[in-house]
Amino acid sequence: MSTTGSACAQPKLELRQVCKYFDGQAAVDGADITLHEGEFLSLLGPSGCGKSTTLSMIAGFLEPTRGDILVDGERVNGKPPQRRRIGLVFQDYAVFTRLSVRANLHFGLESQGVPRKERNRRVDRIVERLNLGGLLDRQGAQLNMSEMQRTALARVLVTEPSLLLLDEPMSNLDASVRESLRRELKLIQRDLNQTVLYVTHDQLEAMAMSDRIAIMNEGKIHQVATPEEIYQSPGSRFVAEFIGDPPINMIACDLVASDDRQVLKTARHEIPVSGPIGEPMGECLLGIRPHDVVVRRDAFEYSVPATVRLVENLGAEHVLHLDYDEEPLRATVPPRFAIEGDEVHVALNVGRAHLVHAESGHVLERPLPG
Amino acid sequence: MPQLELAGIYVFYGEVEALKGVDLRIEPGEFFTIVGPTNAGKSSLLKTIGGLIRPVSGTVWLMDKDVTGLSPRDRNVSLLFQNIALFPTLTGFENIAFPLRVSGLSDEAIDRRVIELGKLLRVDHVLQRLPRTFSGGEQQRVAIGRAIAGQSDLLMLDEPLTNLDARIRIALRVEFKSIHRALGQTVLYVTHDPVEAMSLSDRIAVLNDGRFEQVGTPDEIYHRPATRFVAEFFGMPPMNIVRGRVADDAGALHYQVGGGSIPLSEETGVNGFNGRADELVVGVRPENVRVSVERTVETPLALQVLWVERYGSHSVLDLRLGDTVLRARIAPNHPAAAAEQVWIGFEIRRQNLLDSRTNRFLA
Repeated sequence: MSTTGSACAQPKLELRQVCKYFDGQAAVDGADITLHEGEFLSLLGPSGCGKSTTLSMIAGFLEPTRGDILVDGERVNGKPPQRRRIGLVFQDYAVFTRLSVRANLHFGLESQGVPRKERNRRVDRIVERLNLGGLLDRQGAQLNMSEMQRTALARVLVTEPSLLLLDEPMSNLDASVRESLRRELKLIQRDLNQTVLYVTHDQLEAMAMSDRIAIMNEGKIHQVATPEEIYQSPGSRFVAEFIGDPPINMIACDLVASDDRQVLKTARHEIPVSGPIGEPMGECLLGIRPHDVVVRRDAFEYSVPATVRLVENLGAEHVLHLDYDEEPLRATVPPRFAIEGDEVHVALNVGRAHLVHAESGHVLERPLPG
Repeated sequence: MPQLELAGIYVFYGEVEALKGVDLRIEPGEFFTIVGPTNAGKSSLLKTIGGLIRPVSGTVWLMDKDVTGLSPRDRNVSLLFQNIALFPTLTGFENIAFPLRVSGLSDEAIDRRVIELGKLLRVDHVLQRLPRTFSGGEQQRVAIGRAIAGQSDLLMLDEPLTNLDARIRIALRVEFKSIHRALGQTVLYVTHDPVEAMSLSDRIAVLNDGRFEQVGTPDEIYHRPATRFVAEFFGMPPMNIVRGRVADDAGALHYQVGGGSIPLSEETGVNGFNGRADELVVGVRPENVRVSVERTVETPLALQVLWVERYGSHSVLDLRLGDTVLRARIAPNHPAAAAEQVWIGFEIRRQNLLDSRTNRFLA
């Protein structure tokens, strides 16, 4: 179990240019993912983006049309699911409600034909690590959500999988329950150094738990990076708009040469910028997070007045929707900063914004305040 | 005159008490939300108002009319459920026009109304198409159009965003609010999602186990929760509930917790509180925990960092406090996000003190 030289250690999972076609349509189009030991990676994207198809291919329920899937360095294409050393936890955890927790934990091992002595050893170990000792004789139906999650995880972990796949396990649960379950899951994963691939459409869930996130849309993986990188340096317009609550603003803008400097023009602002922009590049959008829109009660440098159209109260902060262009401009402010109908003054912190090519959705180099 | 009023509503299913004495007043034009966990009684309450179940006791008034004994048809309310059911063989236009066709409006007036709603809901481009060609968001917006077209006395929305992707949910959440601002209809919205409740509503009622824990504006609910349940239901992450002791150090009161102590002001009126004067339970929002990488007067407690959640716009620290976890919300570039140990502190006011016998905060 040595982890020396982890840089060159064998990845637990590798997807190489994996494709899946249904009736000539690409559901998954050239997916590359590498997952290292102990890593928690989320596969994140909207409904229909291909993440469930990807999961099904890794688990062995679907065969890829092209490309290789490697588990512990071994190509598993064509291998049946039960021989891939992969554990799967489904939506809503699917614990057997009529069986005791003990029977739930033994179930998978018995069906794999693991001898009784070995079975007991593995179950005892996981029961202790997941703190299930007091629950062994409880029926599945009597468990609360935390106990249910631990039982579902334990049932799979006793099979000692190389890789644990979780398929939107919390998507049907109340928001308040999800929040605590996700912390518990993360603690168990870290404690056991278990490699996890977590499939979700919920960006907050992915941001909160993951070491890295792979963002997928229309069958393609757009970016694989840490939560911070994804938030600060989105690789495409799709990524920029998918991550962040409240969502990023996308403002139509122009770059105009004026004397010997460049000016970034939006419907309301003219901001001198410098930096590596160079050639004119057609229609552009300024992607700026609501946290980087500066709002004050009084006028200040580069500010313009704007009316508060709508206030969203998120508790710890409020989101102002300001009259700006065709679309309102979103800005986060502290609670009770302004009410609907107020006039405030607003400026754009372009140093933290992204310039996006409108047609291709490519993220261009950052403008720098000049 | 309130738009809707409920008095003393009790609903039983056999032995199970679903609603245990609910009183409610909704004013004309309000966006009012009932929020609570699964099985709190939210659906029973909606069905009682809609006339789908009859309460064991209590009265329902719509405008000034007692409708308790009336059938659903005879109440001028419309209900939009979580599962969108558009008529599959009717176009978007005819789906929205449906409730208007039975109202005896002229074709011209119906056209005008549907087109106006189509623009407002941004579905004008799908009005001539059939529902199976709609995206999830378009289906939902057309369904909203149908629910609001009839101009009922009360529009009830039952978890309308629950089955949608997180991304669409955030976008539609804002649209509900804009639509409400534009039309001014009285809305009763039901959800289990505290963020939806906070961001949409003029007022919120928090339902738990068949009773209201608190009714108030989003600010009141968030900043002055009445009960422990409300405090822990709202907030991402929710309010910390901290258990410590009061110590008297030469006349100056201190709150001892996590191996350190925080001074307590006279204003808290801690003396003699709770019958067990030495134990004190305090509620602190994660964003009100002060965090520093050094010891300061304002951050006297040293806590170990267990885990950092990075959301981009902010980070959340999980800190070990005795055998519990304290959460603190910090800026994304805060140096504490890279530390193994941090120093924290928080202000304690009277409104932060929880009576641990009743689980209610002191007024």
